[in-house]
Amino acid sequence: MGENAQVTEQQKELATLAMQEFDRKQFTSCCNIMNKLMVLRGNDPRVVHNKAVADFCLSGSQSTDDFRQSLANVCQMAHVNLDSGEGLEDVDHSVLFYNQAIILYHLRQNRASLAILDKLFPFIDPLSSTGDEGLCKKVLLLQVELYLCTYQPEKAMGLLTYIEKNVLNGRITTEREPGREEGKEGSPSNTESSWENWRPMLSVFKTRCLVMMKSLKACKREIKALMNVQSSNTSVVFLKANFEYLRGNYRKAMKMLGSGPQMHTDKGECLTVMHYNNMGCVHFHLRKHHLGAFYFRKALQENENVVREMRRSTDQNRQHAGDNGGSLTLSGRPLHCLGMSRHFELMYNMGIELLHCGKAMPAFECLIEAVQIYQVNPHLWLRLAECCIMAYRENNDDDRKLQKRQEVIQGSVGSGVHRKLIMGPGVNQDKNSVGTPAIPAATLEFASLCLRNALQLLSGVPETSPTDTSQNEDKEDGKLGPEAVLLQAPPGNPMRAPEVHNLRCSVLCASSYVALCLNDYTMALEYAGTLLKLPRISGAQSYLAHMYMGEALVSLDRIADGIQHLNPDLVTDVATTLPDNKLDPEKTEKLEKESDPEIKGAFYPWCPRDVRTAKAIIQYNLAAAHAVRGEYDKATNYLAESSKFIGAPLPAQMYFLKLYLDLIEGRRKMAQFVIKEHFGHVTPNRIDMKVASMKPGGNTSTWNTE
Amino acid sequence: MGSNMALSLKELASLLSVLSEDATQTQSFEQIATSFHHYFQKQDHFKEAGQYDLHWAIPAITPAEKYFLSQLISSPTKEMFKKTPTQIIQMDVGNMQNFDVSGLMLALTERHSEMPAMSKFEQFGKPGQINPDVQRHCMEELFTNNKPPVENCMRPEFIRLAPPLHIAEDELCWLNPTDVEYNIGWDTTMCVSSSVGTEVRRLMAKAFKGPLNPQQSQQLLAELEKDPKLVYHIGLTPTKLPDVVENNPIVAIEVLLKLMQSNQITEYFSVLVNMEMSLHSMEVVNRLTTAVELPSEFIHLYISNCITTCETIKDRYMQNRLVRLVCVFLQSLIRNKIIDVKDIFIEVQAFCIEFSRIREAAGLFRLLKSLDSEDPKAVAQAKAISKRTLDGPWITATFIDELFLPVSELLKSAFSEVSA
Repeated sequence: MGENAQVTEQQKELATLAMQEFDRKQFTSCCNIMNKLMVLRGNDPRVVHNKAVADFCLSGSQSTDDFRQSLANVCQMAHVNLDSGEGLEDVDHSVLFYNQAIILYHLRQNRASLAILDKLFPFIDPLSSTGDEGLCKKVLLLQVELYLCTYQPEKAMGLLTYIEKNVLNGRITTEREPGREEGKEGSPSNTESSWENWRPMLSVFKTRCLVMMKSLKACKREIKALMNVQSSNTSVVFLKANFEYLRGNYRKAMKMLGSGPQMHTDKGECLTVMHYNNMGCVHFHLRKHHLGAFYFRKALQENENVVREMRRSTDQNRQHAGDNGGSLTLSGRPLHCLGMSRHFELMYNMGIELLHCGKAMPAFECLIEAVQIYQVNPHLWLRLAECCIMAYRENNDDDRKLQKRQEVIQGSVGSGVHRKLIMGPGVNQDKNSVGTPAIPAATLEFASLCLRNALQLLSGVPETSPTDTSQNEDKEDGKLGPEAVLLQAPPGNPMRAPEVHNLRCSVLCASSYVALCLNDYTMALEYAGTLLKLPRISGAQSYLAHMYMGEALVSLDRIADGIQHLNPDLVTDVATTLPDNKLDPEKTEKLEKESDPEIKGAFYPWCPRDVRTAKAIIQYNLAAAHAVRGEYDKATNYLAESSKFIGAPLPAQMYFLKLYLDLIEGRRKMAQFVIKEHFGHVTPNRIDMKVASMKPGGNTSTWNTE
Repeated sequence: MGSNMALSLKELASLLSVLSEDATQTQSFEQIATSFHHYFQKQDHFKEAGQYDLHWAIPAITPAEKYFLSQLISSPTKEMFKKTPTQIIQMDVGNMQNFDVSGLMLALTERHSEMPAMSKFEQFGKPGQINPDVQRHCMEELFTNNKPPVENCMRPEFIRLAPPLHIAEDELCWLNPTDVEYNIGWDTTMCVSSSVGTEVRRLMAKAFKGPLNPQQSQQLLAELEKDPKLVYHIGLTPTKLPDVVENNPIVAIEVLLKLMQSNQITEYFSVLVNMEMSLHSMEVVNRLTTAVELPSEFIHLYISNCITTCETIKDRYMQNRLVRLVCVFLQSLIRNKIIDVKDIFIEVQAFCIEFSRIREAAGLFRLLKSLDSEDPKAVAQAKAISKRTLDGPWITATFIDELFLPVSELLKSAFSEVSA
């Protein structure tokens, strides 16, 4: 740096004094000393820098804009380019890089911050040995934190191991610069300077990594050790709750979270928001979705309150400082509170929870907001598509609703001989949406886009063979095997290979369905075919894939091929979860112990629930396929068979097919009878009296072949 | 059928008046057609045709009607149109010449077979014929409005089940408080660093730009020797390393040796390996190899880099110089056992043959051979191959170059011939 003159003894003394005051957080006196030093060495970039730091701290960390400007000036004076691709030239510039990274971190520009720290890393070793341990420690901790913020737990873990090996072990505080050591001893408030005091902090970091990597075995050990030492530490308590939550001990997790909402921490985080959010997560897993949504709503409200409160005090502070807003937007509130809002994380959780409440449209609104921030999360794109699908078809029992059944007969016109019955237009009508699919709306067209995004994001991960899964189990040391894939899914934890696989299956299944609904039969066939080729798919997915392929093939005029896929005898399982759900044996045991039957299985009910109904539905489709080919006898047989097991009330499609077959084969009387039996409201009594008397006691819910 | 089959109320009224009971009782088809054309433009014909079709779709038609339609579709005759519909219905078709609709049916089937099964479904409705008021009302209901019921299509439909919601074990975002407070840092080096650092930095900045005089470099090296950590303060980033190497190789060597403990050393190495080959860079690498143990892949990379540079250089004089340099460098590496000959044998041998006109290359080749023959396995292999190929035509050096494992005996003779 361009120090122009020798440092005098007096200046040295002043500098030491200033640092002491700074360490004791006596910022007023620190500023006074710095002012004196500024007069003497106003051209020394380091003096200018520390003056800016002192001013910033004196403002209660509020004058962020001013500080950024000063930092930029100092960089110019010292000929340092923070953004250049080149690394650090002089280890003495570390603090400039660090302070820039700190600001970016609090602005939640985590990647930019990390990029700066990466340049600093090669100098960690000289940094710690030239005496500035405090800074070295801060840099390392911030870097670990940033790796965690950017969901790179493996990197964070690597850095932690590096710290333990190279920094903690064999390091006795340096003998160099005894003056500074004395200075530290003189300030009792600065207790964290010793490396030994690091360990608990590192342990907390390690646990966070393990939780994020879902290495539960290693995590258990770490948590246990933590609880012995610092069981009153809030972050430890939250971590313990998080661990129990991941293990499936939801009651325990809830107990850990406690009942009373906590207040803010001094780190600018609102514990109340976190508390409600985590309670929401627990209730989601307990399948109490409405209660979960209640908690997420509370968390959102609390978050809004905090942000509003902060904004109000910001305005006051600004007025106080005579600043009327303008271009300076960051000043007025403490730096560590700039990024305190958890709005988007909460929106993400809320959206998923609402979807499971069956509220497709509100869920869509939440998730659309979240996806602006978390575009790389394939889960999120699938959930958006699911919202669209749910908006299009609320439930698979939709077809059985009274309203749908009534639409089979649209109405009647005329009277007497002229009386005509109007058949309805059918169930699967093309609901063409208006507007372009690129504009987010809960349409199938948009769903198709979302699903393509999800597939694209998943495409980077190779498909694993079923034998690979065991290797992904965590090893003893808590490190992942080399095959373990961690795919980013912010704001949730990164996904491991089995999760990626499951997600891919679900995306393919939904893609096939959406393509079918959009009359894109070729793609529907392709997606379903790909799905069927994957190992380890759930019973329901295999069932659906065959069903979709059947319909797509029939629509592509390959009816014979289609019929192959619609064989009801092939349906053996329609569970939505994987048959050998590879849960931790310990976890399953725990689940059983808690004897909470609702915890197992799907988060959201899906119809058909049993194999019998599922068989009947696919048999109905078989009947429809035969009817398309003009094989009316077969169709009639299958239809009759299906109607026995499909369960009441019958889906509207069955009435259509029944009437279609009767009319096309000239069984007018039979058609009239069916209409009379099921749609009495549109038929005048006298017409069908004789038909009814012809078939006394006819079974009305099933149609036997004549 | 077109989706715009809906008729406006006025159109429907016109059509009904044309086809009214009275008219059809008395007028011939020709007359009906005339009045039809009176009301409707040509582009509407298809619309109307659609409605006509519906008349015969359901209910079942009589043989007389069937005859009429078949005539109408296949070969309409003038006389036919002179009759009124009533006349036709009352016509006795029994003694008509054998009319055949099977051809028509065949044509229809053919047309259908060209379409996918799913699109064969057409609409059918059931308009009636008797009470004019009710009838008109009926027709209005069926044919007019936004979505006329007559467009309703009946066909077998699949039950299309939506997939279940995805099940993820860990999808939601759990929030944990951070444990550490991240605050702005104080520059502890303020007013404590001595002026020594400044002088070293000044000298180093000079060293990037040009050669230092012996006294200056002596001073620089002495300061670096005094404080082993000073090397991190002199502003030497990997990208700046080539400048020091070219201008002050002695300084570069010392600095690199000081940086050996740094976790960035591999970056310095990779810059060194990939920089333009020169006497100075070679000197630095050579000195480094004798002072510390370098990763072997790094040395191999450097050798390949050197060989490529020699091969591609255009200036003949420079090429000779560089080749000599490389040969001496390689000999030194081999004699000091810094590299294993086996690892680079083929590449270096090819290099020697290509530049066999240069004395140092021949020397290096002889060195290679002497080392190679120490390996009994290689000797045996070489002998076996030489037996096979000795009888063949004379093999040029460049040809041998292409052989995967060159024949040592043959090579030697070829080589002596070339050098002679």
